[in-house]
Amino acid sequence: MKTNESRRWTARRKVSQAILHIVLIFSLILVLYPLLMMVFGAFKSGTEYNSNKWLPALPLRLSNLSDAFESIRIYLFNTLIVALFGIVGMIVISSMSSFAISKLKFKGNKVCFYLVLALTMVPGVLSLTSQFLLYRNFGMQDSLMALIVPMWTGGCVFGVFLLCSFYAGLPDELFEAASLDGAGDFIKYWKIALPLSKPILATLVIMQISGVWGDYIWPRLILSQENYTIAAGLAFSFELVSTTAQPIKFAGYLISAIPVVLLFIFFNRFYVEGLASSGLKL
Amino acid sequence: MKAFFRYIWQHRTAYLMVAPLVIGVLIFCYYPPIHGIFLAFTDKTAAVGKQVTLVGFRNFIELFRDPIFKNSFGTMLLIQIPRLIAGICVPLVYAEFIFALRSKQSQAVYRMLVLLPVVAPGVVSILVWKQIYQVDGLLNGILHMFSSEAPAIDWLGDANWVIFAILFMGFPWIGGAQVLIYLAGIMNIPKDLFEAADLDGATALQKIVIIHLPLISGQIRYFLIFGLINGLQDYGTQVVLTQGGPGYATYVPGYYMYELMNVHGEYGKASAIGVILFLIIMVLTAVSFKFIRFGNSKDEN
Repeated sequence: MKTNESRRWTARRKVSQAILHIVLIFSLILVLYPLLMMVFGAFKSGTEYNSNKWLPALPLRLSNLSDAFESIRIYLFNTLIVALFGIVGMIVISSMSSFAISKLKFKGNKVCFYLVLALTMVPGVLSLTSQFLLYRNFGMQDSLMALIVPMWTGGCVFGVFLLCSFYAGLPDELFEAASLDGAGDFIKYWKIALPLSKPILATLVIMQISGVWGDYIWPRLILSQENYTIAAGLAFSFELVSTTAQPIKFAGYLISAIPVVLLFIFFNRFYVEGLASSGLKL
Repeated sequence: MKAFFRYIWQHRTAYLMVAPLVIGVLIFCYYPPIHGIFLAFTDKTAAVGKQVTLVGFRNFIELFRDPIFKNSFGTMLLIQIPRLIAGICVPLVYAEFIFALRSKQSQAVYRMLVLLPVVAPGVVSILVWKQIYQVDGLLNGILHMFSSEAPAIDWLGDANWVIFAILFMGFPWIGGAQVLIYLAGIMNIPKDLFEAADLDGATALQKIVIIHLPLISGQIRYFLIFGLINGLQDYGTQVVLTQGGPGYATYVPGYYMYELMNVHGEYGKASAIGVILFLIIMVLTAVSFKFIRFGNSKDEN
């Protein structure tokens, strides 16, 4: 009697687990299908796509990829330049100042911290117009500097927030030994604090890369076509060429998505940490 | 005075280390919003050499008389309220489903998979959805499968359908990041709470409502407030998918601001929209903080 009861219980649990899996997988397929459709489409010929838009088809037309790459190469290149200079600067500026704010005792360190933190309360719509005019007045219109400088300034806010609490948690003894050896404040930062914060820096790098990769409104406003980064290039230039066949466009989307997807696969841990820590703000 | 400079000199390394950040932030992050408020009261346009004059509230008065601007608020509510609700509820349900799985391995697999759509650049998914919404696109194809008489709808070109098209994009709206944040919250709940509930014979649904919801109210509050703040400012979809069209059917205030600035060079008026949105955001944030605190204290009783 009792075994019967518990057997029925496990059977019921198995069924409910199976239903859960089905619901989860089905909704994932729905969410992922547009991306799959893009992958399928990227390898079709124009005529194949016209007759069969939504399902995979053979033969794979690999030339689409090279055709698309030819057209979006310049945008990928611009994106890499912006990401490289922007991120290196962002890392140096935010880690250096965070170390000074949280470990070096000087008047005004709290003020600096709140000055940066308060920026999270300023919505982007309030500054967009005058930001545009400011960058134009500095002669950065149509220069990649217009994308790099925001990373060195506003792009540091979140990094300062994370790094300040990390550095503040480091024990002071760690730095006292270095002081006895005659190390200055900068050496303490460069040799001790910076290497210790590598995991946080990796998270920040990943977040910045996906930011640069996805941004299109600001590049569209401040740059001309040949200086667009990848997202703006796809949406406002590559997409609008009516002579480009749709499969080649899909191939372009695919190429532009590959680097960030690879980044996600190889640095999954930092990616997830970035998402989780951005949710910890409240 | 001398003592002040001596202090600075003694701590010069520290001041030099924060200087790039502080100077950069003051110029590029603090000046623009302050100047933006000033611009809202001027007649600044893209015209070169024109004298810029203070015009008081003229930009604001003109905006409130402008039917495009007034209608754009309704459009914003139509788009953002369903998005906000879906953005809070769907990931929660999905996170609960993943949490209910017995096998830890499959939980990990789903956690990974759910992030994939987030990882691809947002522009790419908007552009793919644009293809789905074409007259000969996937959505009409699916409708045609169910009923051969289904009319082919021009989802993005028909003012009656375009809001639906914007909302339906990304169906079923499982935001990967939100799912992970919810899951982390649920997994942090102490196990003994569940054991107590099991002893009381609580059903799965009861456990979710009584134990989960109060303990992840922080996450819900976070998504609500940031959803409001971001939703009010959002016009990224319009820029790529509809350009505000057809007609003015998908104009939201943020998009109108973008258009005034980018196409018409009406910097004063564009800034005025920025100021209006800023005020609304301030009020909504204050209200939602207050409202939610109130809700929490009631829970504790």
